[in-house]
Amino acid sequence: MDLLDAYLPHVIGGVTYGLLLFTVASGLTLAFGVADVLNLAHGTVFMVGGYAAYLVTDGSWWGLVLAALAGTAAGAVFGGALSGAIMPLAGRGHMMQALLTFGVSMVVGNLLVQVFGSAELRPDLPDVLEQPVVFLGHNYPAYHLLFIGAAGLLAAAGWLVVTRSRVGALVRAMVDDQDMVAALGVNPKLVLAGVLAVAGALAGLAGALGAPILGPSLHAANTVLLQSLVIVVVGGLGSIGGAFVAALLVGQVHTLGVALAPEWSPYLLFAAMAVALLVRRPPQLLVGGRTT
Amino acid sequence: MTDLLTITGLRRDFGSLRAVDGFDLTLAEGDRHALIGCNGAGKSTVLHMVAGAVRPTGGRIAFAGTDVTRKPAHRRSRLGIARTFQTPAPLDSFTCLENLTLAARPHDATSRWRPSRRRAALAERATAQLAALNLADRADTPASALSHGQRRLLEIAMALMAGPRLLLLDEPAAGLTDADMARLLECLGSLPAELTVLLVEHHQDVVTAIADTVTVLHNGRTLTSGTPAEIAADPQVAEVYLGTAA
Amino acid sequence: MTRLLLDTRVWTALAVAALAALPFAVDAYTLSSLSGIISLGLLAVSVAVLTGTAGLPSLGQVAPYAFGMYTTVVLIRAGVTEAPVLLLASGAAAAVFCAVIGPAVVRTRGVVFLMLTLAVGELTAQAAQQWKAVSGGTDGSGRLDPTVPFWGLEPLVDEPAVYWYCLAVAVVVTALAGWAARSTPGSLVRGVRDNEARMRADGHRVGAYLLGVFVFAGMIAGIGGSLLVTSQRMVFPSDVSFSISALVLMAVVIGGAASLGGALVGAGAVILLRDWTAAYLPGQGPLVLGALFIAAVYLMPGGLAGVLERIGLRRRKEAT
Repeated sequence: MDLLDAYLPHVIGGVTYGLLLFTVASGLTLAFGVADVLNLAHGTVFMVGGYAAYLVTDGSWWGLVLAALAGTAAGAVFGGALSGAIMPLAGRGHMMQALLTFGVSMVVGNLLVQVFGSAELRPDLPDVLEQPVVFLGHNYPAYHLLFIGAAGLLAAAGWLVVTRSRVGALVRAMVDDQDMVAALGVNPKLVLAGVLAVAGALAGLAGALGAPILGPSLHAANTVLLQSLVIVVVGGLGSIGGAFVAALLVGQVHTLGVALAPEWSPYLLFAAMAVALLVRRPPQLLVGGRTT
Repeated sequence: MTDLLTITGLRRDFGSLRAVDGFDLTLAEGDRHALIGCNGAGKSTVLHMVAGAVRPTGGRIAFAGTDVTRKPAHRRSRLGIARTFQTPAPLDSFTCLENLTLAARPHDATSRWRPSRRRAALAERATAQLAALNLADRADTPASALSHGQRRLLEIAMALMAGPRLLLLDEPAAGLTDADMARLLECLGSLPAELTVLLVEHHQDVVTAIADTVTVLHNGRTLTSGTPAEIAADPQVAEVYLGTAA
Repeated sequence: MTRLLLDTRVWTALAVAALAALPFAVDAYTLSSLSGIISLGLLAVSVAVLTGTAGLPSLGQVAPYAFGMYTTVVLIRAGVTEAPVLLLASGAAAAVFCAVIGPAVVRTRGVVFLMLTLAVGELTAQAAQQWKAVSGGTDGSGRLDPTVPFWGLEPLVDEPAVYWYCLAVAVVVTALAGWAARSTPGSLVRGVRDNEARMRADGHRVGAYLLGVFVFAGMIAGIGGSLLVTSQRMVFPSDVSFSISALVLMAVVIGGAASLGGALVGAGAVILLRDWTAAYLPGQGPLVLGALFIAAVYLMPGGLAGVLERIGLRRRKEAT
């Protein structure tokens, strides 16, 4: 029992980080599953959300709410703009999308660093949230626990939308059969813009709300992107439910890895991904998902 | 005559959809059998399971005494099962001759330690096969430059290069012009007598010309079987097709 | 005469001759940069082999490159400096690495393959930084002894000598890759790229072919890594960072994915641009590179090779 107790903070930390990753990765899953877009600028959108939070928070609760809204809005705008950039590449394959979005991430990422500097910029949180809170015998920053609650609610709401609403049904139909949706008369440009805007909004929101946990930086953008990609692959390309389970797994592996064996933590993730790919054929966990 | 292909209790589920629900079929050497049915009846799925492209959810497929139910496609090919695809799938960046030599490689008995002799043997067989299908003048044309009908014939030639015992044809007449159709029928008519053929087809002319027996599939199960004439006259079949010309 | 002008092999021979003559025309510093470019050029060839011949666009070839690089580092530190040993061991180490991760990686296609190789590339970059015992961390490997081209010969210390060595190795390896691409193994792999299902239906062991090309490409990258150590005599984790992967992929895109020569030219162009930016627009490197990526994607669908085809200077070899 003592062993479990010693690891509890890491496990909770893993859940926090996992939920953060899920918010980001769900956007990537959506973009890939619905619009067949591989977006390597997704980590940069996370950065944008983080900087938005830094600019808007002022220590008040209202500032925090505004920060969430600002991050979401900035992410949505960025995402929509990306769709415009990707549209001319239709039919040229994923590598071109990858190169283009990677180029965008380099340009925007470095512009952001030039504007904001490379020091870590923490958002200004209400004092209450900076206090440690005792939970099951350990201290946690209050914000982390709030974040778990908020992200958990968001995930639940998202689940309901995807599985119960008409929009959700349309989304799932598109993941299964993109051509069919085209035949339904829906404008593909609008779909692309809409999907990337939503994906961007999710990443921006994660960046804004997650900034106290993982502040905006090029390194953070990179890490978040890479881990989101692992989540999308392991969770089943296009499966939101799968991404949720995968995100929690990746969050745990990363946090425990950093705590227990820092030199090996990068490989743990890759090994987990390789095992997942080898064990399942085709990759599908919970809801839908596409095979390549 | 020993049975070549024995399918028992074949089943395939896609999530909650049961595409094939207990299918049985036995074919002997030299049999020519057609699977017909409406779209969604399960006939293509059956073919894909025999070819090794789709894993059965249940049931058993035996070929020449070997259980091939779970064997991958390339192993089945080496055992003697060849197939064509619904959309002709030759290799676009290669010429017709190269397509055939590539298709023949895994089956060629010439020693691989004598590359030039191997190449010559393969080229000779490929040229002969092309001539048999009236494609000799296209030997050096890239497959991408062929018409749809020619691509269909090329693919059949590729399948035949393996010297198969069982040939699976997936809607060979799909998308063909009248002229192409005539050439296809000529090609299918000249197949070796001991080659067993299982084809999925919508086109009545091809079925009547090629098949000795026909199985009608409906909702994943066999509705009825018989000669093409019997099936054409069967009122139950006409009803199931709902107006498709019998 | 026009036939001669349009023959790729004539141009290739002329290019190699020109490159070999460079030490008489440029200074030592430029030569040193060029040797580094040649090393990256081999990395680009490795990417081109996978992307062009096999249709597997890889963002992670920097991993076998790193394996080759650090194998040479370890050997030189242990006192082994003879080129044949270094090249063989580096190529082998990289090949073994690819043989180990290959079975998992090569099962995937398209986007999943891209993402997996991206992860491999990134993880290698992180590993290089963390495994201080071998890489020295951000401080680098420290100054290393020069390479000896063959037992009994003088070590390669002069820039021209180092350059010729790198050029010779690169030419031989690229020629080997080109020969393999044109002969049976290349046809088999290109067949898989064209239509994998048809190849399987014909009885080909597709997985084995792809694993083979993956290992072969890894070996090429590993040898490239060894060349970097010989030319710079000091290597840093930043030499195998993810942006190197991306740079090299960019080079291949610029050169035209299926063209090995194009990959080398593209590598040269991209590195020169990067160094020019570092000299005249310090700190803006990533910005310029990112802009270059974006421009190249929009403006050059077939890369340089595509441009040359359109002008008619290059035989259209096959559909990419």
